[in-house]
Order: sequence, then C-alpha cells, then structure tokens
Amino acid sequence: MNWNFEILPDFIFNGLRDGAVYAAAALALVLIFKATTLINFATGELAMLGAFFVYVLNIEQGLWLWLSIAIAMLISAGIGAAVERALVRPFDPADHLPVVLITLGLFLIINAVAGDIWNYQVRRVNDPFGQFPSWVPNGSELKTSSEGTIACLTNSEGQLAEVAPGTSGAEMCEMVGRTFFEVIGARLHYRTIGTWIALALALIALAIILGKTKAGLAFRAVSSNTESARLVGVNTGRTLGFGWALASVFGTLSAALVAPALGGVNPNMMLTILIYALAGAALGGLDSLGGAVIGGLAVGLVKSVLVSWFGVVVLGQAYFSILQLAMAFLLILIVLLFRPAGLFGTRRIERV
Amino acid sequence: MIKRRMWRLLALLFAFSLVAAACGGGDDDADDGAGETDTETTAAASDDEAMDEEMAEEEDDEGATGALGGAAAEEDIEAAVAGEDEEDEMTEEEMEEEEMFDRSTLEGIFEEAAARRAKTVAELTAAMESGEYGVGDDGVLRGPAGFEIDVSACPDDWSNTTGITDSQVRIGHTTAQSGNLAAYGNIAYGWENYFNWMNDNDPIMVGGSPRDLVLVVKDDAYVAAQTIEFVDELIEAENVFSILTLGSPNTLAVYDKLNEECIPQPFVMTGHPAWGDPVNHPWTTGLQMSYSTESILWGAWIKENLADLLPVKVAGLVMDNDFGLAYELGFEEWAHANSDVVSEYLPVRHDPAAPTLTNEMTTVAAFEPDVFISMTAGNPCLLAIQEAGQNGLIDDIRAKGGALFTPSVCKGIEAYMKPAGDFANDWWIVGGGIKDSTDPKYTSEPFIAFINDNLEAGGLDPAVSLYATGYMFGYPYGEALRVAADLPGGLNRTNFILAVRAIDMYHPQALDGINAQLNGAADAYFIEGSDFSKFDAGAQTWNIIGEIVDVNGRSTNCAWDKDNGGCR
Repeated sequence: MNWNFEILPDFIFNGLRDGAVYAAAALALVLIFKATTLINFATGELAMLGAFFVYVLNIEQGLWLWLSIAIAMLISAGIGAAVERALVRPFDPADHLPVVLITLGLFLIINAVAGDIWNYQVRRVNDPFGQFPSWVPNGSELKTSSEGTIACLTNSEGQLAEVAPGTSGAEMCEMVGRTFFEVIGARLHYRTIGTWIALALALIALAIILGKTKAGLAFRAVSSNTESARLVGVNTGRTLGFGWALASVFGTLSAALVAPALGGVNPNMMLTILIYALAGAALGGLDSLGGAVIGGLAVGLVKSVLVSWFGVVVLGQAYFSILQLAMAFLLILIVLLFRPAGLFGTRRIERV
Repeated sequence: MIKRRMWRLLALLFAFSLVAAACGGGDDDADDGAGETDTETTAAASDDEAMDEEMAEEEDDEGATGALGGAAAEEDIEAAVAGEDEEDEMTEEEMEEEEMFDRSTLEGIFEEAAARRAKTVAELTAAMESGEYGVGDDGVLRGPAGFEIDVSACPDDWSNTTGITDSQVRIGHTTAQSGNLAAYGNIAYGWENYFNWMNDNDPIMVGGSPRDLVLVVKDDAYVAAQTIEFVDELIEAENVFSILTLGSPNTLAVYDKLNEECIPQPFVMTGHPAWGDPVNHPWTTGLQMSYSTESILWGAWIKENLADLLPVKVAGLVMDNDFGLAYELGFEEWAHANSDVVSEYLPVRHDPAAPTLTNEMTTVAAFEPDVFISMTAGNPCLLAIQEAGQNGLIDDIRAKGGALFTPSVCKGIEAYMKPAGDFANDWWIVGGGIKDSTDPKYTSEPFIAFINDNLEAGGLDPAVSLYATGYMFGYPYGEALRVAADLPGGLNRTNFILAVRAIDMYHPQALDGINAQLNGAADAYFIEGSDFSKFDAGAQTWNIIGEIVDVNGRSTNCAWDKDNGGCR
C-alpha cells in the first residue's frame, strides 16, 4: 500500500469543491421534494439550461459575468415556475407517477433541444473565480500559466514584447493574478474557495427568504402540510410554483459554478452531477436543506478521498476509478436501507 | 425487527456483490495472462518493485499475447521517425499520374479521384473476368493479395443486394448522439451532408439509374449493449446494405456478428488495432491510424527527441474502456520493450462518464512524470489539458524539458484545443496525418473550403470540427461505392468489399505524404502514417514539426484476443 499523504490535501480540496456543487444541485432537488414529495429528474437539465443562459449573456452578448449569472437565475426561476404551472399543477398531487413521468420527459426534451440549439461541442465559459482581479497596464498582453495570469508589458516602441513560446519571459512579464493559495503543500484554488463562498451566500439568502418573507412562510407551511396550509388560506399552487422557481435558481447556480471545471457548457454537463447530487440529498435527508448541503459535501469527499485517493493511490487498484458512480449508488442504497429519512431528514411516524 | 434487519443485511450484501461483479476480478485475473487484466494491476503502482515484478510477470506471459500487432515493426517506425526510412520510391508512372492532376483546385482533386477509380475498376474487372477475383464457383470471393471470403458460409437468407432499392442505397450507422460522448454524433451529420451533396450533384449509378445514399442513423449513446440492439434492428428491420459503427467498445461488440452475417462494415470510426484482421473479419476495416501505431510513435518520438532525459518517467491518462485500453496496452508493450527509454510508466484510468478529472490529474502530477500522454477522447481531451495547466503539471514537465501529448482523436481545434486557452500551447500530437478543418492553415485549401461551404449550405456550423470528420469517412466510402458500382455485376456487397480492399486513393483531408490505401489481406490498414505537430495557441494552429512518417503497408494484421487483449 502506498500511503501518499502528501497529496491527500489536494484530494480533500477537490472533494469539497465538487461537493459544494453537488450540494447546490442537491438543494434544488430537496426544495422540490419538500414541496411535492417527489424527485424532479429534470433538475439537472433545467440547471444546464441556466448555464447556457449564462453563456449566451456573458460570452455572446458580452454582459458582465456576475450580472449574466444573476439574469440567468431570474430567467431560470421563471422557467421553473412556468413548468410547475403548465406541467405539474394540473395533475393530482397525491398521484406521483404522472409527475415523475413528466419530469423524465422534460429531462429528455430539454437535453435534446439544447443539443439542437447549441450542439454537443463544449463551449468555453469564463471562470467567476479564476483569479483575483488585478491592475494591468494598458497595452499589456495577458497570458495564462498554471500560477495564474501574467501580464506582458509593451516595449519602448509601444509594441507588444516578444515572448518565447513556453517561457514566461520573466524580464518582460510579471504575475498579476494567481489562481490558488498554497495550503499544506496543496493548491487551494480560488475557484474552490469561491464555490464555497457562493454556496454559503446562497444558503444565507435561502434562509432569509424562507424564514423572513411571506412567500417563505407559505412555502414552509405547504411543505409541512399542504391540506392544512390550503385551509388557512395559503395559495398552494402559487407557493409550489415559488418552490420550483427557487429550485431552478439553485440549479442554475450549481451549473454556473461547475461549468469552468468541466471545460465549459454542453448539454450533457449535468448528467452525472445530478446522480451525485441525488446521493447527497438522500444521505442528508430528502426534506432537509441543511442535510442536502452536508450530504453533497460528504459525497464529494467520499468520491475524492475514499475512491480516488484510498482506492486508486493507496491500494493501487485502477478499477476504483470507474467505481465513483457505483459508490454514489451504493451510498443511496445504504441510506435507503438503514436510514430511509437520511441523516437529517424527518422521520415518518405512523400511528396505529 | 430482527427479521427486517436480516433482510436489510442481505440486501446490502447483494448490493456489494453487484458492485464487486461490476469491478471484475482485480488482481487474480493477472494470473490468466498478459494484456488487459495485467494492465489493471499496473495502474498507480508507483513503486519500482511493483513495476519490476509486473514486467517480470509480463515477460513470462509474452507468449500469451505475442508482439504488438496492428502496427508496423518498431524498427520500421523508429527508422521513419529518425528520418532513416527507406521510403518507397515512386515509379515513373505514379509520378506522372500525380503531376497530371492539379490538387490545388477542387476540379483537379475530383479529376484525380475519377482517374484513380477508373484504374482500380479496370484492374479489378480484368481480374474478375479472368476468374482470379470475384465469387468463384466454389462460393469463395477472392480479391487482391490473398483476400478471401467464403460467401457460401453466409446465412441462407443473405442477399448480395440487400439495402439497394429502386431509388436508394441504405447504409446503417450506429453512433453516440446522446450521453457523455454525444459530440461524436456530429460526425454523422457531416457524413450525411456529404452524401446529400453526392445525391444532388454526382449520384451513385446502379444499372444506369441514380440511387440516393441514405444514412439510417441509430443513437447508441456509446453504450455497446445498445449498439448490439441497434445493429440487429438495422439488419432485420431496416435491411441496410452496409453498416458503419463508431467507438471501439461498440465495434468490438458487433463485428463478429456482422462478419458472420456477411454485411460490409468498412471504415469504422475507431482506430483500434482489431480492424486489421482480413482473415477472421474480412468485412470490417478501419480508416484512421491504429492506436497501436500511435503508441509506438509516441515512444519513438520520446526516444528520438528526449535523448538527454532518458530514461524518462511517463504518465498516461487512460479512458477506462476498450478504446483507452488499446492505447494503454500498446504503449505499455513498447515501454516494456524499451526500458532504456522508459524507466517507469504510470497509467491512470478514468471513468468515461466522469464529469471532472481533477483527482486523476492530481495523481498524474504527483507521479512527477517527464512525459504525459493523454489517452482519452471527447470532452476529457479538453479536461486533461485544463487540469494539467491548473495543477502545475505543464510547468513542471516543461521545466524538466519533457513533453505533453494529446491523442490523435483530440486534434479538433475548436472542440478541444481552443477552449483550453493558453494551457493548450505547445502540446504535442501524433496527429494521424489528418488536417483539421478548423485549422486556419487549411481553410483555404480547395477540399477543406468545399467542406466548409458545403456544411454551411446544409445548415451546419463549420466551426464544429467533427462535422468535417464526417467527410473524412464519407469521401472514401463514396469512392468505394462508385468503384463497386462500375464492376461487373454492379453495386452489391461482394463488389463493395472488393472495392474497399483494393482502394488506393488520394484523400484530400490527409496531409501530403500520407497514403490512403488497402491491399487485400496484405495491407489491412488504410492510413498508417502521421504528422508530429505542436499546438500554437496564439495562432490556433497545429504546426507540423519534422517529416511526415508513413509506414504504409507495413502494419502487421491483428486478430484481436477479446479475452486477454492484444493480438493473437
């Protein structure tokens, strides 16, 4: 066995970065589950659609990246609410099968339509946390290196200085933006920290919306007991639409955060991520928002540390690399068998 | 309560056994022989002892898989890379022929194609009329260089003209238009666009009347089990004339059946060495350079260009399926035979469905290799470059004077290189001798310009490299169909495979110096050469460094051993 502890921190950081993305996607799943007690299989595809909106607004239309993400979240919220109104609300909420079939159908339709519009070739997106912004002199040419961005200054004649291929041209170029901190010998990328911060901010916003607003109160009432909420005058239909909208916002956030790590956006970008998110939601408890976050992070860690580091590096078993998805399924199975409500979910008590 | 827990425990054990079954045998399998299972045990074995032990085991097992097939002899390739190759000298007749046609114009290219077809038709017709080629009274189809198929062994309901209707020639195609490798489905759209152009401008003539080439495309999502189902459907319900499959695992899953059913399967969209097996799989051929040849070319390049660093540590990122394992096996055998060049080799495998490769590339970087070779396909091509940039692998290797390679299947600039930004700069490729249609260096060339115009006319975006790849396969396919249609008996399956096995053409999407040729049972690989190119991220182009290497006709055939990997 090769106990390579030197690279373990890298795997932990990788796992927690992926885990934060799974957590955001798991939140989208849990929000809909809380409202309707069903899994929305189109969560990933709605999120992918949101990521393409970011691509169109930022890359094609030239809008500021964070503004693009905000607008994409709003559009996604509208689409989520519209889907609920048009395709989910007409069905009896007690009968889950038609709605599950609809979400499966949506999954296929959105994927095919996105493939038709944008093709399956990956499209590059900007990284919201790639590097710290830094002042760059006018006329500089920016180059990317593993350390971050290098600005190569103009020479005395105002022309861009020649930089030999493969070198940083130290005397003419200087580092203006790094992409990571070095922590106990590992690279903690700004993207990872940014993803954590974005997730934390989103959670705070969600807590405020659910805890301090009327719509949030109504959502909590409906998710607790739909019939009672209706009897006290809550518009349950509109409230469920609100839940779908919120879920779409979180889905879009997760897709926008993960897109740079996937090389860009493409219609299949969320296929596998949704499975990990589902495992995270099942682990944390399908009706627990905090559980979804902890579950998502735990799945990221298990995948990275247990499978990739322990299985592949320590045990030296190459086949562990293809076990990552299997481990997610195994996790779902174990949770459902021994703790169906998940670690933090509400236990159902039947009175006899 | 106890009963319920027992049930849960049983269910859990069952789940574990399912996962274990999915994983395969692991170490124990290594005893069965060399090849695929052996390579599993090598992954991540970074300590020298394990490596030595394994090499010793492999030496013992050499007889099981034998030398690497599907490629030319190592000495031939290394000599070609070193520029010491005795190049096949062109005959005066060949030189005159080449000078007769103007390859700088589309008309000249098409004139040359017509002349070459006429020559092949004349040669085959003469041999068929003399009884040397064609289906004899004994039911055996004979062709050039000892090529034979016992057509009498074909199924009773087999017909030589299935798929040819009064107005159409129906060709089946399985490809990935959904799933993680859905981008490869674009090849089908490009191929179909070329066939549409042929139908409108210069159709295939059968019995004096034009027939439209119609592609019947089935989306297998790159899942071999689905390929099997769809191939059955194409044979039984769609009654297609021939079938073209995409992907190594997919093609391996169906090529036995297609050969038993006597259905032509030429120019499959994969470079696995198994397609060069004219004796056992005469109806199947490949098109692109085999992965075995590519593996040896990587090794030969290292030997020739990194002399100061030898022996080097090499790490590979391997897609964990038949495709990636063909690369892994090829390079591992070469490294094994050249321990003075490669001191350690670490293949790190990845799940084809993995959304990110951060952990795998962290493992690669921790190995501190002098050379990194990406042995993957699709989006992971891009991810490998991106992760190598972000984790410092690119800088570390360059600081040592080493090199990084991306595989030939990742040559597409718009698809894989451009999205990686500056990280893509100075990556090497054994490029397979093919021009990328999005490379600005070639966009003004007549055939590439024709492709891009044709794509636009068909409503397809020329920036998608893989559309043009459809022409790379469609053009020789069309040429072979035309030759077959002009042979005695007209277009039928036996004439088609005869035309394929005798094809000798100028492929305008191949680089100058690359031959595109098959010759019966003697030469079973269509393209056997390559460029060594380096990517210039500033100009977004592949710059060819050194001479084009072509070992045309020198690759040994490969009867693939499905159980153990490697050529029998």
